[in-house]
Amino acid sequence: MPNASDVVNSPVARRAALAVAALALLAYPWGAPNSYLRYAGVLVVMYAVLATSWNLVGGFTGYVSLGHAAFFGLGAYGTGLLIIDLGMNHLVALGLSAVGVAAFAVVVGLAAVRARGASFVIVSIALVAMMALIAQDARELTGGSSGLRVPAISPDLDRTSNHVLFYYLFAALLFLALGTWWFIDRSRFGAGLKAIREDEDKAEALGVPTTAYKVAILALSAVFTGVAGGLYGMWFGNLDPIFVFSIIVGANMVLMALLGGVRHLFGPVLGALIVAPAGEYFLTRFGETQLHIVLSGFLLAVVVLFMPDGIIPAVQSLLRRFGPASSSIREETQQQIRDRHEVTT
Amino acid sequence: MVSGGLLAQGLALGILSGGLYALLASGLTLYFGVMRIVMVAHPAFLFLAAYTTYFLHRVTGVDPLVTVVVTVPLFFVLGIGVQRLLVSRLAPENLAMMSVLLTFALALLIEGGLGVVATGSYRSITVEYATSALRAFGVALPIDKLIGFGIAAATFVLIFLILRVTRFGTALRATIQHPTAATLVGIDTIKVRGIGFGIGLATAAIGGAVLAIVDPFFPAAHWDYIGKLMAIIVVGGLGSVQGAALAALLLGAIEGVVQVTGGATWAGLIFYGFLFATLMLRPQGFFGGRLAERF
Amino acid sequence: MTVLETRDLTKAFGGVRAVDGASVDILDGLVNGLIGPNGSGKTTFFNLVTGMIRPDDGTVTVHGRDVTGWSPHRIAHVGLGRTFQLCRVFPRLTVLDNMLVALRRTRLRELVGGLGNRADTDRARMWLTRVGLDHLERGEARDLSFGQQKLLELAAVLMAEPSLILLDEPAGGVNPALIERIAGLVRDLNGEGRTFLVVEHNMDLVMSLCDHVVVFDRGKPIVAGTPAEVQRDERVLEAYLGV
Repeated sequence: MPNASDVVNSPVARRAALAVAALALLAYPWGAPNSYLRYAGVLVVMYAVLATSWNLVGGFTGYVSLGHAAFFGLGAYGTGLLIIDLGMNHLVALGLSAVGVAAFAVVVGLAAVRARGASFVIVSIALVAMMALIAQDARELTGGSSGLRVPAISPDLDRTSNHVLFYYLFAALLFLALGTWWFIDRSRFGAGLKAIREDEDKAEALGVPTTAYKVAILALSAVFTGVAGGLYGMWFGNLDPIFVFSIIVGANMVLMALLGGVRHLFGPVLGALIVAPAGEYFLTRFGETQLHIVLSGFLLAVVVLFMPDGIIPAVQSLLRRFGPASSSIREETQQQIRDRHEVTT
Repeated sequence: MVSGGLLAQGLALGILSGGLYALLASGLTLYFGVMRIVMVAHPAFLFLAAYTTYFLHRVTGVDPLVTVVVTVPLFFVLGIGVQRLLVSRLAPENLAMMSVLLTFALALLIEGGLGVVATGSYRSITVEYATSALRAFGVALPIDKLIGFGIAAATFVLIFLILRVTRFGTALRATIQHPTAATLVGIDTIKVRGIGFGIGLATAAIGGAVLAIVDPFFPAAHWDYIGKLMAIIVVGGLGSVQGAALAALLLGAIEGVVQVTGGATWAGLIFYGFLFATLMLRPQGFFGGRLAERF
Repeated sequence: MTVLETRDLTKAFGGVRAVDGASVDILDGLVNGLIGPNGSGKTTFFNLVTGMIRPDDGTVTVHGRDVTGWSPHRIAHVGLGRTFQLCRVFPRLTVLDNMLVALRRTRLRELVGGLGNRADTDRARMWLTRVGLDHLERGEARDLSFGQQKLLELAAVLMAEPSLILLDEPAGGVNPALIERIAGLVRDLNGEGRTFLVVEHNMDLVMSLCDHVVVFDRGKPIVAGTPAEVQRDERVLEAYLGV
């Protein structure tokens, strides 16, 4: 008689659940009853992309970047400016700006990864604050605080089609990001990154080129974030430097990943599914006041204090309680160990 | 071409701001030393204090500098509370990271709370006796900024003396340097940590009163301070209160000069430039001496 | 053949010269011991040689190459491995993954390849079997007992195929049966051509295991020779007893 844990955790069940989720994801724009919900859908998928790309760095290496919005904004402005000032095709501009963001990440990363732990977080905050300052000041280039208008992909695109199109574009990007995470999780590169998280000096002593690894994953994460930024610019049409270079956006990325669980593929997506709609709701109801900031802060504090590992591990251990008791390796008796090896005691 | 007089003016104003930075940076050093955490919320508490001072002044008409009699003890107790109830709950495993996130969350809560209660409009206090400027060495030194510098400097010296001269200060320094050894010689490190934190927030209270009279403030402005303070701490070298003070004055002075020559944006960017340069060239900071660590 | 050579290696922390002009020659193929009273600079010496800290002065040469100032992972690639005084493993990685982190120089395609690479996994399992941990390969390293972690640490270092292995107090905090096991392993590996440099306080172990012993005092070597010679030397007694 299979028990609950066996059924729930079986590969068939998991694949079925994934298929259902993917179908739901793809069908959403058609099912959404009004334009606002379609817009919100795009936003949620975008945040899922952002949280997952953030998790490439945070989950594997344990380096927490609160300034990831720097890459988001850079990708957004880069794409926008290439389209406006150089008249480039939208897709080409996106690709080129992605390369630019990667290069930027490498340069900045070489300095930033010399800081460890808490100081890396600080440096990341400084980075996004710096970008915000520059963006607001360079009026001729970026339009300053009044923002930048990014031309739409096609003039005949009405609002609904715009939302639907970018919903699928962000979904495709999400798929790519998840695939990358999954791939790295199983690779030698990933093992090295995780070793950096566990004990960086020890990893280096074992031959892992830690600086190169850290900069590489930072650049990869930056590319995804930057592309998301470029897509955002094309979709939303208007870039406000205070939003795209916002620490709050960066903090939300961290919050989502932490909430869902940083050591899991779908953790950030889960976090985004919870936080983004809630944030949107609070923003529309209480926007003029700063209640949504209070909410972000409160949620972050709760997660950090009470569930730093996130939801997924908590659920997993709950499910395991219903399964057959697994023995910890320490439960092996001395006799059993002795039977395998000749250890004289 | 910028005149020498203008440069001198910028320099003077910069040094005066540097005094406030020094006070705040010393508080941050204290938090790090006592709990090994980077208290990102320190500037947020500074602004909380500024708002508190502002409203106390508005409601009671008492001179803002006198309100510290109320705010300092209040923030001191608040500091102990934050340390005991929140910070000490963090598992030592990932302390550095989690503490930044926790204090970051605190900063968000404060900023949001202030925004809800006080709205985002700029506030400032003008005191009648501090509206003019003192002319000295060819520069105009605004009285309010002079007073601010004086208070900040005096507080800084007081903290320094407490650390060096009093028994509590010695206990605090012992706890900073080696918590286990400190417990072994009978120091109640839990109490010491709480008080250390309380002192840190008390300095924020004083800083807040200074800020209220010196510059206009609004809830989101604390992020600027975080960037600057972190740059100061990194340049000065972590763990060193003197190093932080030196770096604060230096960077404040440079900021002042750049402000009159290049504008506010460049002045703001100066700090970040120094931050990255220090990380590339000398990660343990320049003025820290032996105690400077890499955190 | 000298596999490790330091000349005038110096490192000061504040006013304290932890390593003070240390010139040491470690010969190929032997089990070398490094002993000395507490605070004589042995672990700092290890840290300097493996690149974890930069020397203030002096040079480090491994297999004839000047590695002074090199970063730890580059030095590891030249064939140097080390264990730590306070045994360090990667706590939340599985035992097998702990092994697979160790890298020799790899090409890019090996990096993106999966961890399931047969050759490497087989090699990891071979080492795990040799130290007696193969049945635990899927457990998390933090669930291992202290002795098991020490064995894992050693096995992981061996994955990188080092020719010179630095052991920092391998017998520290370990029961006599395990000490014997580790000593046996060292002897076997040495027989296969690997050179060892072992910091130890356990004198019995040093005397029985090592072919050549260097004695450190106050940051530099004062005596070197066979265990028997060193045991008789007056200067060693003075250093330890402060006489």
